[in-house]
Amino acid sequence: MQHKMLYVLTISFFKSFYRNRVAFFFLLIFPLIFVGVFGIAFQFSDPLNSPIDIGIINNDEGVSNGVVILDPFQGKIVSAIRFSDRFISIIGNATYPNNTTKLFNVQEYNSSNLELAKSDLENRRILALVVIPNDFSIGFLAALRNIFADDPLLQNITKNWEGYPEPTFSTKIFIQGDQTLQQFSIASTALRQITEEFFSLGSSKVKGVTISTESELTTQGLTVFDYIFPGLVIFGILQTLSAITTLAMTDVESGLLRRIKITQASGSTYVASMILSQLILSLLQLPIMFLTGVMFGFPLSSRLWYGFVIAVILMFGITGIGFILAGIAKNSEAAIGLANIISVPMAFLAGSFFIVPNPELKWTAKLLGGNTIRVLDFLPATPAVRLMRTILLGQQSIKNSWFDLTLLSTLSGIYLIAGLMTYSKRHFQSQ
Amino acid sequence: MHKIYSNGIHAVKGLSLEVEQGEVFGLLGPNGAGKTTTMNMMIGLLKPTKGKITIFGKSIMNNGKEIKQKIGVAPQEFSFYSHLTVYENAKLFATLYDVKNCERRIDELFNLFELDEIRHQRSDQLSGGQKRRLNLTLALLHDPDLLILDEPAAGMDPQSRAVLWSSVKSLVRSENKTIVLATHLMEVADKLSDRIVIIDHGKDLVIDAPEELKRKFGHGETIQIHVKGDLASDEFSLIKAKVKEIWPDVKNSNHSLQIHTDDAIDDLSKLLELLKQHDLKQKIADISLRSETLEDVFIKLTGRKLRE
Repeated sequence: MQHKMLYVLTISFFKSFYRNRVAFFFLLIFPLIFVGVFGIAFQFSDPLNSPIDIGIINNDEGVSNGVVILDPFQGKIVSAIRFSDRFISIIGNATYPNNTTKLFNVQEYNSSNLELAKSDLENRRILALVVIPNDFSIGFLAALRNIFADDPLLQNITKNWEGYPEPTFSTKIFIQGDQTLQQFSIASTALRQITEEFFSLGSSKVKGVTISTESELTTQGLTVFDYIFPGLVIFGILQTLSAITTLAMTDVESGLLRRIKITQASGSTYVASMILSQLILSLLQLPIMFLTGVMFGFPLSSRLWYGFVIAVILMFGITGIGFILAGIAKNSEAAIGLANIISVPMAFLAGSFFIVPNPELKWTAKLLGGNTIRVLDFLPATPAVRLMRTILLGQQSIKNSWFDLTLLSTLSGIYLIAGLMTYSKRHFQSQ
Repeated sequence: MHKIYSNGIHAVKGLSLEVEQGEVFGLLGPNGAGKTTTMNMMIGLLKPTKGKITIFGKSIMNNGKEIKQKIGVAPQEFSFYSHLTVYENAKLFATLYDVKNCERRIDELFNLFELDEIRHQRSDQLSGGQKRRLNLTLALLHDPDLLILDEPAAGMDPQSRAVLWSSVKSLVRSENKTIVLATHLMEVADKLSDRIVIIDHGKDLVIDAPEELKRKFGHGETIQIHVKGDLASDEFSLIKAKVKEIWPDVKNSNHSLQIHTDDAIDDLSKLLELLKQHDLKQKIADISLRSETLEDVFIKLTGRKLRE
């Protein structure tokens, strides 16, 4: 067993690192400054305040079958009505708090154009799709009956709610969209509020409706920094790529690896110690990043632990890529250059700062039981950003993120194995 | 042994040699002669394209782990972690060599190479000589039977070299080590080696004891005549012409003439007589006599200087 060798090598790598002020700065302090700069810039900012493009499909059939219909918005009795028209009008006129900027640009689709609406959603022409069901107005009547159940005047007018749905009746509104988009988070939160106000008529009773998004939303009150922070964490991890590549190349170029190869330490012990030292560094780096984020207002919750786990899994993948580069590059300058060329674009393509188009590979659905992989998902940072954002912002539960978690772990494993093979072949085999 | 690299460079071309146990064996050759490639094949880092290497009777390629424990290598580069202290580096490599009771061995070697006082100093803060001694210490931690030194004196001043030589020689005597030493410095090879192989362009030109090589390939001794620095070139040419009348193969360089001789006493008196006869004594700065060196042997064998 080489556990003692593994231990001393790991400690030596770690000591070499923390005594190297430049490396220390870049790995620990730089991400901290980076998060800090964004924190200072955005911590007091409001969420985005430009209109969000949304689509609405209105399947509402209204009510007209001889019931005495109360229209609370006009304060009169009508014989037929489609309450959804009013609902859509309210959505269209909604504004951001404390200013006159409209919340939404609304595009209405015919019921028969569901496929078109979904295609627009997929292609980001709209960022949320609201599907109003055919029994929307009936649901609203149920809400009215609940709100005014104890009002003798309205009981009398409606002949004791004759023809009204049972108070327990509930219609269901669907809000669809990409949960990783901050605009979707804002839209779905606002739509939920509008719907609840609509069905409660300003009272505390919200009856007659349920709103279905893909999960519970807890995005109220989040700032732009909160949306950016999960991506910053991933960006910080990606910055370690050049540090890993440097570590893997330094001993090669200084001749130290040659010396180590003629000791009793095996190649796998040497490489494992490098990975372990890198892991220790991550365990130091990540809490610093998370704490900085919390200092600048990112919500402190137990979900940060999950973020920590995601970051560590990604770190293994990035380590693998570092070893691949150290295994193929001609020298350390070339390897570090490649690392920088890869890490920054990878951060952007993965969506660390803003969402980039990432088309689905539909054929993967057949292989993965309905789950699909997207083109950029082959970069380990892509599922990591998605997971980090949805989990840390509470848009999705861990249970519902199993596919991305599996994808991230698999990719990290593949990159790590490929890295170790490439590096060992180049630097450990006698040639 | 042959070694042809993947880029087609034929670095070692049929080198064949045998090193006796307990001897200091020098590989002498200019830079690029194939010394480091040969050493890398000896320690199993490179595979020979053709041929085989046995160390203590066993093939290095098939018995790597066992043989590695018997070999210590001090590479040309300073191969230790520069951000670790002298002691931390020693401790690390002692563990990697799986040395039992490593503290005692570290103390022994630190005393031998005068590193004890600087054991807690960071390695990147050491002087060149101290780094060279640490490099050597790390190669000896596991008490190897065979020590391979690649340019062990590179970048060292004469004083540090003297300390190193005395330490290495004491080690050879006390621990009966076999040492293979690669160098392009003839002085190093001459002073330390029991036998020397002279390598050029990947081939072994000759193997023998330094004294034997000098005797076989040299002319015994060289008389060097240095003329005064301000001497006009026609005066220097006159002296050269007069000397050449007696020693036709006299060589000249930069205000000096070299006469190779097998009978230094006789030739020296002839030279003094010649200078007196032609009234040239006042134009001479000094006359010296030196023994033949391995450099002279190398020039004789290849027609080039070692450093060319």
